[in-house]
Amino acid sequence: MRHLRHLATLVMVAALLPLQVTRADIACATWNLNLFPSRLWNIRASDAVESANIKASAQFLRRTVAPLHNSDNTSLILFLQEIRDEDSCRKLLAATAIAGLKLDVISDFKDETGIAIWQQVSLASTLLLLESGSVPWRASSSVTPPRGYAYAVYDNSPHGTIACFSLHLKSNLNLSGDVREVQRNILKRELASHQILAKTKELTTKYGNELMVILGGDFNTNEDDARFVSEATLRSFYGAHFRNCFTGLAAKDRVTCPAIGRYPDATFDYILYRGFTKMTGRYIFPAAALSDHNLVAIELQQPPPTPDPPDERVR
Amino acid sequence: MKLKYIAAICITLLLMPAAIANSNQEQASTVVRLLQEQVEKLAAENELLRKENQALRRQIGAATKDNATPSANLKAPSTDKTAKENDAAIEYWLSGNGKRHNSRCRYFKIGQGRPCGKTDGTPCKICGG
Repeated sequence: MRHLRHLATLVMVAALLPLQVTRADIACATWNLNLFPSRLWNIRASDAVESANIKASAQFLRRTVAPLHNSDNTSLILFLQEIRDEDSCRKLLAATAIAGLKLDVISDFKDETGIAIWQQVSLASTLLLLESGSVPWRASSSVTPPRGYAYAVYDNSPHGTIACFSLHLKSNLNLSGDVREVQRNILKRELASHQILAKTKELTTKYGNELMVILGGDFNTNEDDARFVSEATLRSFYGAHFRNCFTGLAAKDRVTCPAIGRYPDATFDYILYRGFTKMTGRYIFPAAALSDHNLVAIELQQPPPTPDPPDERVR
Repeated sequence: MKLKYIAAICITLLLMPAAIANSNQEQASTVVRLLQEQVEKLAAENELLRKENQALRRQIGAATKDNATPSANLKAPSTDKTAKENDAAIEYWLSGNGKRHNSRCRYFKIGQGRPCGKTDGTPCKICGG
């Protein structure tokens, strides 16, 4: 009888063991690098300063993100914002020396005069790229959101396909202090969110309902500040079944944009996801010496592999 | 005597369907056996193909990890040395609106304009000209 009890206990433990393992399949990180690599508005720094900035940022990425990409089974996706150009992005990724990390897309957004801006968004990953591109926000009748989004679709067989978007939504810059300017900024972010949702819908039609989607970037809004109480940007994503990586965390535990001058601590950087089984880890890495934004990283678990479609030859 | 014949015919008639059924059953079981063999063969073939498919996918994945695949919209790095040297020689740029920009400025060598001296035009407010 006693032996039987032991046996039953052993069987139960063996059955529960797989539940204890928190397996992560995809590690994602989003970081606004703040006018990388010069850290100056519309001006290049000297070669020496820019090289030092590239090196320091790469070391930071290596220290924070590389451990998440610790095995061949965990793929890595980086969502980067405020990069000057492709050249500096390539230099940054090369300096990280993370195995298999490659640049998949970097935007080429221009200002109203047709001159390239120095706040591009990009995606880098260790995954197999299917398609990528960057799209400037479309203007509505009254406002034109600045910049746009970069997207990439990855083949993550046998688990499926992943679509990723790197975003940098309109800031809260308001030099006049006019409340209408606040509302205009909100409207620009809401317009941008509608365009992202339209693109995700288009990609879902193309790749199927099982398409996993990750949005990462600087959303410049949150649910804590009274100024944004009417804003539907984040809510529109929740309505499209996206989950927020910060759900359940108190505001003080999710500061991605530390206080500076008259601006208080804020959560502006997010990773939203849908189609994944669960989030197995979330991290905020302070990057005070390098940027005004912290790096946000999460680990996601994919759904089980989808079976191969039946082959015509064996039918 | 007649009765014997009739009895023999009756017995034959009675046994005939059983014999036919037996032969039918044998045929059916042979067909089932053949079909089962075919199914097993196809299942084995299917398994083999599935493994081949997985191996090929893994190979593609490994090849991508080893060789960074540039996106279609990414440019190849420029190797034109002379053009780079000529570019480096230009220090100031006078844009169409008469503003002078130095080589660190976002508006340097952008749009309509021409190279200029360090005192030409109005200095740009961002870079100082």
